[in-house]
Amino acid sequence: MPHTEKSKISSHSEGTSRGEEVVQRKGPEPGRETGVRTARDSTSINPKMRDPIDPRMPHMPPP
Amino acid sequence: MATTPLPQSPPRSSGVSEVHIIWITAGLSCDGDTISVTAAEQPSIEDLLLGAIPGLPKVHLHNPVLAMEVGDDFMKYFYQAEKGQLDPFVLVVEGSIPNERIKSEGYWAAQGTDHSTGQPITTCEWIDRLAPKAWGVIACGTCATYGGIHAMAGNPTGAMGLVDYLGKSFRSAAGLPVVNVPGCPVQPDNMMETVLYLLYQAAGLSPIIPLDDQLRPTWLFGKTVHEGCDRAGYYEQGDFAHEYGSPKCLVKIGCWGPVVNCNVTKRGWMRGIGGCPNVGGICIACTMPGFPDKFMPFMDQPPGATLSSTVAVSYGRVMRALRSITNNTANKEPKWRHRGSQLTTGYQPTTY
Amino acid sequence: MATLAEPARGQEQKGRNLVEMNWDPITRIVGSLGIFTKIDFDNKQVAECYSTSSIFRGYSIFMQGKDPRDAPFITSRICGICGDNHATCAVYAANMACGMKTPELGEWILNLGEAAEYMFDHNLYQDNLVGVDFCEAMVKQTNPGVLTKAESTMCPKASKHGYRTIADIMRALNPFTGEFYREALVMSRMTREMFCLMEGRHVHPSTLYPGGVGTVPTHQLFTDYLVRLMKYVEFMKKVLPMHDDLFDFFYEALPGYEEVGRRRILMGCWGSFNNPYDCDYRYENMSRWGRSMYVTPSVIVDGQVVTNDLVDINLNMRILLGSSYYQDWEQNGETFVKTDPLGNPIDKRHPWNQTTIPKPQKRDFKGNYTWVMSPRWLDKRTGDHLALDTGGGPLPRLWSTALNGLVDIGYIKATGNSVKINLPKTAMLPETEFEWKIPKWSNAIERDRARTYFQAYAAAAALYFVEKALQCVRTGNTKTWAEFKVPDEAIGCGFHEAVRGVLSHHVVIRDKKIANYHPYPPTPWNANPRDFYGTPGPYEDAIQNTPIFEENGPDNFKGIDIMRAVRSFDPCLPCGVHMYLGNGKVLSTQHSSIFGAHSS
Repeated sequence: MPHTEKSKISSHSEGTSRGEEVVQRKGPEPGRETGVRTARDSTSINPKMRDPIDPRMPHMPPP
Repeated sequence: MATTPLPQSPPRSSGVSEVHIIWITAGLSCDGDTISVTAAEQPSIEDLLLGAIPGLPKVHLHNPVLAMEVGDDFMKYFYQAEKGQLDPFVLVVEGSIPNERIKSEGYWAAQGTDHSTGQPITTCEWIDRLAPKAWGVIACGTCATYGGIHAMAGNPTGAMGLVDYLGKSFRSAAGLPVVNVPGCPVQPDNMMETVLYLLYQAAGLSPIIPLDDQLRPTWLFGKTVHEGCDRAGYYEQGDFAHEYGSPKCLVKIGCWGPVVNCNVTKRGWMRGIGGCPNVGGICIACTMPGFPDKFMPFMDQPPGATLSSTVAVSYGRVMRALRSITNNTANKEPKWRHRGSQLTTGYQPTTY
Repeated sequence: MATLAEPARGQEQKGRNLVEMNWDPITRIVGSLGIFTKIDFDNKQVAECYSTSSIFRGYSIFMQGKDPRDAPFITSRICGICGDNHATCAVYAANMACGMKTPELGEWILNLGEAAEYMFDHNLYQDNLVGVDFCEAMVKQTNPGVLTKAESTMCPKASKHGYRTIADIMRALNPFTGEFYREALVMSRMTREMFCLMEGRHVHPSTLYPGGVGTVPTHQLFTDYLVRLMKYVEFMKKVLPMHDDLFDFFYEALPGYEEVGRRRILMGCWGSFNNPYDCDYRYENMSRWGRSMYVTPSVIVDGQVVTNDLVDINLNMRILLGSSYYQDWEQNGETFVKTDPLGNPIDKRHPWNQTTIPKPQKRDFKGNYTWVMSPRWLDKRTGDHLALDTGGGPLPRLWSTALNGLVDIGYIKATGNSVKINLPKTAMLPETEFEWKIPKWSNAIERDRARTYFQAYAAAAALYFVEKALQCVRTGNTKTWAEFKVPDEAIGCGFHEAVRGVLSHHVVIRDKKIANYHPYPPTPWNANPRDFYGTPGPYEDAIQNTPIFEENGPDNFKGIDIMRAVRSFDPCLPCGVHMYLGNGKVLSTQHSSIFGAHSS
């Protein structure tokens, strides 16, 4: 694919994917499959142990 | 990953308008968690006590370090709580719980005097009297949550955490498990945010506080020190500190960050200032149930650090080289920013 | 084992109408303390006083067999407001034992952290804890006549602090609602930010290690500290005159108030702020580098310096037993250290050779009733085992520094009978000099006054340390930590000032592990029982001499004068004090074990 003026200047390398399309292409990240974030969204170390222990408790993983 | 149903909307009834906090510092304690809480700003103690936050119940704090009352005047609140005259109250416990049963007489920890016998009332006795009647119970600091420093190998008092003492099936008068807020000492805002959440819950505005398998609030302890550390970039680039005072990743010189649940690297100690590995202090895992024994000697490299850091070193070398190339490009301005009479930005003017 | 002389209570109290008054727990201190007294309301005197505290943890026991490098981390947990003082002292002891010295910039960083600790702790304790004893709500309850007088007494230094009458100051000290109470609480947070910049987190530091610190020194680090420091300096220019006005008022409104909490001038200061140009942590040179500290160490007897030599101070420390829950070790315990590195013999009752064997038992005021032992200092001139006090910390620090006349760093100058503190221009206020003059008495008011002056002293010292630190950064001298190897066998000691007074750590290393570790913080020095020579502890004679000025009778007695006397010593942590005074007989029992040391 020929370089355009823009892509010659940009620090991006060729074939870089578009940020807004990644989730459509690769699907949601682990922990963000539904509207409710789970522990896996914040950590990959034993995430199931970091989820709330009681179903009445809301999901509130850390930032 | 299984989808979790949305929680039910918060209960509208059972909101209270006034809450007492009975704070026991007389575990085997250094009182560091109370002192830490005076450093909090989000919210501060005075924010809560002066009613600066809307929707919350009025709060009455009974903590010996701050109380105006002395002696029996102060202890009367404990007796009122026991009699059910102070409902609802939240019991906060600070300090390791000693084992009073391992000896035939004497006491490891006590507060106040039993007026009928003239002998001190043990802290364990106060916990027995008050915990079942409390609306909620908070174990504040690692000593109260898991035993901490005084519970290390070779200790003479048999110290333990509050849940070790009360049992995992303990539930408060409102049906809550003990809320553990570990930290040695507890990070100031972590404790005050937890109190704030429980006050919202007591007011009927929040569902039950979310706790993980170690009964810690999930939004505070749900990720590792390493996942929140601003030095993690050095790790990934295979660039490790060999001595204290270096700005780089400390994992080879004692930091346990990769396996410790704590948010201090992410939020700092107070107002974003300070912390632990993010400012040059190896993580000694002070929020963890295994503290301190499983992490001593603190300055030794944790297991697995050799393997992962070795791999990180070779991977990192490659990444550093590639990033250096891209960083060079990013550090150069586009060519069209120059003086002279030629416009080379790509715009073709027709009028000048 | 100590024998306790039975006070001749029955005989001496005949004819006296004594009322029992107890305060258990004492609040607005850090830790567990209960006071039991008998008050002679007719003669407005404390006739008997007995206090106890009851928490034991066992540091000297569970530290045995552990890695000596962990000592700063572990010992910090002894105290929840001044733990970093312990961590620092542990670093000093480890440096000596392992044979290294903290590099210059590391020493400045540590000094800046410790200065921030003094600025924070004294501020919080003085204005949010002690201050409540002098606030309008309290004085209204205990001395309404004094409050009335305060309403019409103009503050001599009102132009410096903005409070028109003494009662206005008292109102500003009311807990939570008082404007100054809240201002001080906010200021205590800013000072802790300064601390966090240098030592990582408060109270248990993260960046202190044997050999130095892990803090990364940059220009930004020190300017972040400095801008906050200047705000504190401006604050102190107002606080100092405010407290002077308040304390002077109490002498004036209640003639005789100098007797409250008064005792013989018998104090210890172990020195603070090492001088990196002189301090090499070698025991052999400790006499010299002790004198170079930016707070000079001394033993002071009857207002005079007996010695300012840390080796001398070290050699004559003795730990005696009183009415405490321990088995004695003098006959059967191991001798860990026979001589110091200079060849001086080390006594069996020295902390290096102490063995702690706890024996928990029922509380019996006629027998054993405390977890605390009695630290004493042997005065070789007389053979007396002196019950030194630490006066809550600042009083002996200023007294010793003043008398020795050694400290001169521009911002601070010791003159031989005073300490001059020069605070530079701040945003809204000009350059200001304060002078702390050696007072006539060692009493509650002077201990409290010294605390405010020492806040300014610490700020002035910090100004000097920041300048030195920035010089290091500008010249590329940025090493903060020295490498070392833990030896197989070694001994070490550290001398420092915890916020509330003398602090020493003594360590014996064998097979690269801790064989013996005994920290001695200030409160056991202050709050110990009568020892087996019959010498009473400091709290007891201070309380014994306290007259009652409170206007209430037995029915609503608050014991405010006793509270002011006790709190002037800044009792800290589960450190118990037992003072039993039966007409001149002093008996001190302590349940104090926080530090585990005294209770080890």
